[in-house]
Amino acid sequence: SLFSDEASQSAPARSRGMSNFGVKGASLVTDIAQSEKGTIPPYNDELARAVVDESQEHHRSILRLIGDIQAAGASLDEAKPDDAAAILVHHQAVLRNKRALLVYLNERMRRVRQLRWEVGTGLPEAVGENLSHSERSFFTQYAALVNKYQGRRGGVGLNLTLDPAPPRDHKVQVRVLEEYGEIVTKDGVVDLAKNTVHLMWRDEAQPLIAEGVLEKLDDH
Amino acid sequence: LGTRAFQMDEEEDLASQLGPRTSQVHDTDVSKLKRAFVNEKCAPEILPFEFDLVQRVVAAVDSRESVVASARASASTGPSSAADDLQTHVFQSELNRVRFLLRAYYRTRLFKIENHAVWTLKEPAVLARLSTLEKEYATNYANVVEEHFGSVLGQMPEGYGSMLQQIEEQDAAWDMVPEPNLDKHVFCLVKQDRGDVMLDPDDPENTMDLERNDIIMIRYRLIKTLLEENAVDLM
Repeated sequence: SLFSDEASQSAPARSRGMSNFGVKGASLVTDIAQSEKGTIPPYNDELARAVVDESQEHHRSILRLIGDIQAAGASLDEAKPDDAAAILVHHQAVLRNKRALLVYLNERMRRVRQLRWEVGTGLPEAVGENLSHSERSFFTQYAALVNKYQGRRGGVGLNLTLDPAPPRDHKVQVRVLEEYGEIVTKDGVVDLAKNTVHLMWRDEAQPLIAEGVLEKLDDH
Repeated sequence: LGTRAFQMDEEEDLASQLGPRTSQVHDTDVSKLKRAFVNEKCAPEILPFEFDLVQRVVAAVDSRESVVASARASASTGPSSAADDLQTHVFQSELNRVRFLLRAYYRTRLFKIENHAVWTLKEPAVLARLSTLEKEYATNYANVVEEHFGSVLGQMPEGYGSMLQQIEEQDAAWDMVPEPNLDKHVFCLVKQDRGDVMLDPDDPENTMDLERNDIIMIRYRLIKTLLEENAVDLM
């Protein structure tokens, strides 16, 4: 590992209980990097908060160092190299933490965006539980943006979530997985009773397939 | 500079013995849309929005759709010939394919906007390539992202809370704005005879002889202008 036990045991007491710089940030990035692609693990609020708190501590150290320099009657430009280096290291540590936080948030945000395209505007409860409050809010706002862009009024007037792959047939055979009741289609009323098989228009079946209500039967 | 992936000399000799080279089959709007989509898919940056082309295709789709709908309506009420049914089927298949192209074209562009939202908004040359709706989308998207990031960045120490600058400094560059990688390699089909072309201004001696139907693999940045001039297509 990057941070061996030996090193942490020999850390001076002067570290004021702060962990090795950047460890928490790295841990946050690992959290999302090691998660299974296409899934969103629970938002690690505790760790994110810890990284922010650590950054605040660094900042307090910076202010203290600046204060000490100015109290000694010197200007910042005249500061001793040791002091200047200390300030710089704390500053860089904050930047590192900021970067780690943004990597974490950005990757999760990317996966949340994908939800809109794969699942639609309804956020499944199981997924919603894993999102932070701000992420749930982001999903709602993003979903609305996409809706507006593809809508008929003020948009391009075309459902962009359909046809993720080039179409082959225009009717598909589907089996109903969940009882869904009657729906109105271009061909008339269809009763989607559980386990029944229907031949439906692709663009009508696609959203229901994405939702998991229907299962596409491959023709052999 | 680039790699010549395919030599056409032998085949051209054969073709010229067989007769004059046939010109390209008349360029339909659908084939233009397909090329626009493929170019968009392969290019690392967003390309100019094909407003007129899309408008024509959408109009054609709408009118064909009503033809198909009325054909299906009359087929369900009265007798229809096998030829009519086949024609409806073929129209429907074509409609599905064209709609796919439109959807994919819009989508590819939207994702590029999302991935480089701030960059797109702050570079006038890039912003100019977006449709009006896309510009609106880019602005709103950037705001939504800023709000979300702000929920965490807002807790950071003073001066470190911006998503555009690492540390807030007046009159300093925005150093946290990702931009597309124009040095990505792409495959190109050369559409026009251009002769000896100097592609890399950093290496002006090294020219490439570009003839129609050549296929080359090269850094996008070096053929960007040729693509703008419609002298190459990406593949």
